[in-house]
Amino acid sequence: MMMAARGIFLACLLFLAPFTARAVQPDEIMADPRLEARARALSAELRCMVCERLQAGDSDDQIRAFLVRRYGDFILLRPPFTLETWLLWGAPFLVLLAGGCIILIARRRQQSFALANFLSEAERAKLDSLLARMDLEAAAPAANLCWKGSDSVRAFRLRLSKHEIHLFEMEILHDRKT
Amino acid sequence: MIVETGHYALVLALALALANSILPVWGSTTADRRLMAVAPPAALTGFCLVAYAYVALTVAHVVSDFSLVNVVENSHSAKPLIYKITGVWGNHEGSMLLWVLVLSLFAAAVALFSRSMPEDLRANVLAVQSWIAAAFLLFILLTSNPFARLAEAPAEGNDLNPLLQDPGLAIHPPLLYLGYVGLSITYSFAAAALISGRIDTVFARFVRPWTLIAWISLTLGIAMGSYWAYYTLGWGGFWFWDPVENASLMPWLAATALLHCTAVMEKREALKIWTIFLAILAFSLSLVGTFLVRSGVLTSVHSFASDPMRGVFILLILVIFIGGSFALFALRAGGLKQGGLFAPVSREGAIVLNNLILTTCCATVFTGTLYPLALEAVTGEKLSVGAPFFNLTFVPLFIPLFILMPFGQLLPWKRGDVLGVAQRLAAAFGAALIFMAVLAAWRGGPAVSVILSGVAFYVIAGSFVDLGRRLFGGGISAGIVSQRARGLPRHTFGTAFAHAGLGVTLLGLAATGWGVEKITALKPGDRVEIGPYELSFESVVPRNGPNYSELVGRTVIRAKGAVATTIEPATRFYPARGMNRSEAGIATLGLGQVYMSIADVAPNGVVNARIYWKPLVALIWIGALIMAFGGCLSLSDRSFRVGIARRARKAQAPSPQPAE
Repeated sequence: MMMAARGIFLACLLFLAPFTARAVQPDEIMADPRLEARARALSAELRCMVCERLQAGDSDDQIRAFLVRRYGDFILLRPPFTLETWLLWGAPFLVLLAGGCIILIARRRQQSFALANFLSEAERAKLDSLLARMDLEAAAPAANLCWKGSDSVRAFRLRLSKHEIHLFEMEILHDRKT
Repeated sequence: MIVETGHYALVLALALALANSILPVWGSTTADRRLMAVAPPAALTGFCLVAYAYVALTVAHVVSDFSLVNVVENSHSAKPLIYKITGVWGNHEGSMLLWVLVLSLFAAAVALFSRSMPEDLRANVLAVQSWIAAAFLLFILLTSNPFARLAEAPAEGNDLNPLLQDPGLAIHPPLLYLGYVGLSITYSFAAAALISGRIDTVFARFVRPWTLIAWISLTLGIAMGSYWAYYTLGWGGFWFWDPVENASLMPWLAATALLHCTAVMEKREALKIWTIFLAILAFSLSLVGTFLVRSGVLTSVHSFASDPMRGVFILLILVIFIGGSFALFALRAGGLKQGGLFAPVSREGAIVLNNLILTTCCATVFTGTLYPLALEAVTGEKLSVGAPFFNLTFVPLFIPLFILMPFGQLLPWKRGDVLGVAQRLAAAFGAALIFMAVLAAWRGGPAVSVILSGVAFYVIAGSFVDLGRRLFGGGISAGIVSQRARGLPRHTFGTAFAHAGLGVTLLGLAATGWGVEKITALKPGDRVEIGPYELSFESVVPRNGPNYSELVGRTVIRAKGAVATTIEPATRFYPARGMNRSEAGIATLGLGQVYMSIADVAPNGVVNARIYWKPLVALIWIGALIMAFGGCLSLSDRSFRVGIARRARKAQAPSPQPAE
């Protein structure tokens, strides 16, 4: 169950902290009791770096910095944010962001595609009348809104807010259902 | 002799898989029905051959045939029969054989149970399944032959790793493999759909039950593995964010996402490209997991292999199958027609959000697991990515998912209304707040535990809001309710239970914050208070098992003076391997557990004991059982029993019944 690296690391932790009140954390105990016994025997002969520093009045950050200076970033189970780990820490945000963008793009494509391809004659008439009701006709020259092909759809999109397009779409969907 | 026939059966299975990789695809492209008809019987025969090879290896283990390297290295004549049987998959070669056995089992199941599937789709699915089978059979035969003989057989074997001599080994790997490898079917479906270019609701309807079967098995397998680690490793931890665990969590996350978006694809014909992508991704992650565990890239109890040849071979399989399928995907996805429209606030929209979060979770686990390996390979720098990283990234991602889960259940298809749904959830939300206030006043304790418990309560209550309204909305009488219950589709119940199960697991996880631990030296006669219980350590008794000797620390647990139960934590010594193993003493009291493990037994009977009181801990695994139960309910739904509707229609067609 445990990686060897983790085992070694935990053993390190055990060397470093044998004398504090909660010296042995449950997850620092090794799976194999024989290894556990050896780790304890070894740690009895090693200084407790963390305890010494704590007694010297160092802050948590100072102690962490001290350990990293001696043993490198490998000693930290929570890797620091550095040039080498920005991708590790940034991955969740990047994926979330990329996913969000993909969803937005797919949605826009789907909407324009749907409006361009799925409107029947009657629905186009309905859309025209809706448009007229919203009094956009004055602003939009009728020539631009012939509801065929993607260019006019794009023109249509430019003139209407996303919310308005959504309203149209929903109204038409509603009509289809009833 | 049976060993050689087993080996031969495996070679035959490879030849058959190779033939079955080509003929059905050829048949489907040339519309030759005879060639397409080759696939089902070939899949069944392939399964029989692999099963025979598997039985042959099992027989060798059961009779302790020490002329086999595999048996010598992993068995012992004194080992109990159950571990002789389960020990077959407790080693690299045997577990790969189990892998292929499950793979061919799923192929055979498709051949048997999907008769109503379109002929070309079925032929292609079975062909793709055969590609995977051929690759892994080749892997076994070339690098991991379980049937290798020794020139001179030793009198005794080396025994199985004591950590694996546990009932957990009997259940955990087969379940996990059913899930892991079961996802191969969704992959084969996706690849077949891409090959034939037919990606529609038919595809979604046929792929759903298989995804669900894999998901149920994976859920149970992961839970079982976690419980096994909990009681054998001796410190009461149940999830370590170990790469091997992550390897099983990633496919689970992807399968969960897939399960939801196939529903959208089937009902609304939307999200087609995404569904195909996820289907490929889920099995790709299973392959990555197999690579991580089997290649020896990571060294742990699970990684028996240390032969680099194996690692390179699996990596090659990985590249061919993942790369190939994504190339095919890139080629075909552009030509897919857009499906049904939906508003952002709708059931579909909620599932899109669910998929976004689950995929991000999956990507987080993926980077966290592989980053240290990648960094070391590129810069030589060593890095540790441990539990603190995952707690900081994974947990904040999952909490919004919990909050949104009941919303998704209540939103209608196409277009919904957030405020309306929020109103319906207000009761669940209010109850959760009261629950939190009561917990804070009664138990106090860490704020995180209180908050997470509240979220869990809200999820559990919210999961049943939809069901409750449908059953009890309007007039309430026993007759009406039972009539309505019969009228509701079973997948409605399934969804409610699966979601609530996740909430139950969260409650168990949240309650770990109220746990109590004591690490102390005990001598017989000592008493220890732990949580609401008092433990008295009575005596240390030596005992002998079939292939081990143990020292048992008899301990009586008392609740308010009355004896509740007795536990027997032990340390075991296995002479064949010269290894120790601790056996925790666990008493389940209510939903909590008293957990005790002992070590370093001194001649005067003094032991080092670790004692824990873990309130509600059982809920972690009970939650998983409820999730799986929900999955089974959905699976039993008519709409999931593929082909029934079709068959019924066929039967009805010649003689239409008159209307009443």
